[in-house]
Amino acid sequence: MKRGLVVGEIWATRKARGLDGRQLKLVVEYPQYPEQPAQADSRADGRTSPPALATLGLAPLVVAVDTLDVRCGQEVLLAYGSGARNVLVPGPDNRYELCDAAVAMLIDPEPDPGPEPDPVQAAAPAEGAPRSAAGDDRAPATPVAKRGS
Amino acid sequence: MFVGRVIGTVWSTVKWPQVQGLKLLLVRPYHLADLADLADRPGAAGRDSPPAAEAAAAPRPQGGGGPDCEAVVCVDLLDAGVGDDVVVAFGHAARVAAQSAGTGTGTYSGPYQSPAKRSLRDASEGGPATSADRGPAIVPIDAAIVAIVDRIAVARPST
Amino acid sequence: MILGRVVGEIWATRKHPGLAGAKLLVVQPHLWYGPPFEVAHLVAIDTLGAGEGEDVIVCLGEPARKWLAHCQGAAAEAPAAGPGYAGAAWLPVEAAVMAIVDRVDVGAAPAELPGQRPLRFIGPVPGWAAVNAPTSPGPGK
Repeated sequence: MKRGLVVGEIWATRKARGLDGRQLKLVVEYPQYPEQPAQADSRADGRTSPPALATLGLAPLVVAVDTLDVRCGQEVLLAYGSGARNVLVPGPDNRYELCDAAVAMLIDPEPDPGPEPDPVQAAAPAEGAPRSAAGDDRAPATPVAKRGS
Repeated sequence: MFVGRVIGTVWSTVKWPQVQGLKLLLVRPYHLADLADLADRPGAAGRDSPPAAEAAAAPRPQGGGGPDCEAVVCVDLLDAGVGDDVVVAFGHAARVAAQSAGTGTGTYSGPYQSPAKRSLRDASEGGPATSADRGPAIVPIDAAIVAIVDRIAVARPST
Repeated sequence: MILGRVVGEIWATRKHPGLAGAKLLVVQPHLWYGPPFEVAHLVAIDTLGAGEGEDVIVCLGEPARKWLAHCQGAAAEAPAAGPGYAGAAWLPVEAAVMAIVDRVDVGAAPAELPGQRPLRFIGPVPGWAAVNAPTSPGPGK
């Protein structure tokens, strides 16, 4: 399966019988060059962003059958071959579906992690509250990793 | 499946008997950089497409010579002409489309029929009634035109 | 399908029994859509008698397998094991010469997509190429 970005749509009146009623979307696959990372670019704060538009200009452009009603600018996962047929008609009887590539999944954009929690406040325990569930005052044996740090 | 433009025709006399009579076209796939310039062509709509200079400077993949060497020989099922924008399917989908379109040595316009199903039906009925009942022949191809594009809309993805 | 030129032949005595009696040709593609890795040539089964220097069309995948089985006399459409795996499943063939090309008409104007990229060929420019195709050989020659 390949990850890609929806960039457009195709309309056609004259088409083969098996494509009747299908929505066709244009999806550009994210490039996988040896000297570039396969995935999206990573930024300084650890979040990822889609590859720059310049690298997408000559990336493979796929026409995929769309059952999820995706919009331009959304990141999706493409399935090919029999996997694509399973997206349209799940089960063993889909061998005669006319489909080569299908949008299998929408990739949600990464949620905003919010403001960075204050490490000093998080380390100091609340007054009077026991530090461990057993009720005694000992610190836990292994340091507990804080989420987001 | 990919979208491309028909750039030529391939003529051949010596070929497999199952593909005799099929028209073979050369189709060059489009990339996002090409769709940027289709905004002014009639029948296509492109808005906010990526600038041409950026796309031309992009590094190219190293498979089979790169995007400039790409063209596919595919079977014409819809009477496309040179210069048309078409959608081409590969592999099994191409064979399904060819069989449903009634090309090849048989004339048939219906859903794809597997040879297994046909043989079972023939065995249960004691053989096909006429030679026409044997169903459509499997067309052994790898790529076929499955749609002729009316309109392409390309929007600039917001980053 | 791929359009290419026959540049050589392969002989092998020790090979898979499914390839017994099959003629193997080395084909250099003129134009190819996105192979997953860098390729300069491919090896295809030939039953049509193509010679070196001839332009051919190569078909990939299951039709190549079934065509070889058909030529070897096996029942290519036997329903024995179910659709898709009947009779020819054991032949290790992925590419076969489907046609010997007589002529290719490439329109000079449509071959050049609007804007920036003229058509380039992987190997040397073939004789039927458009007049304004660039003569620089591809990187994977």
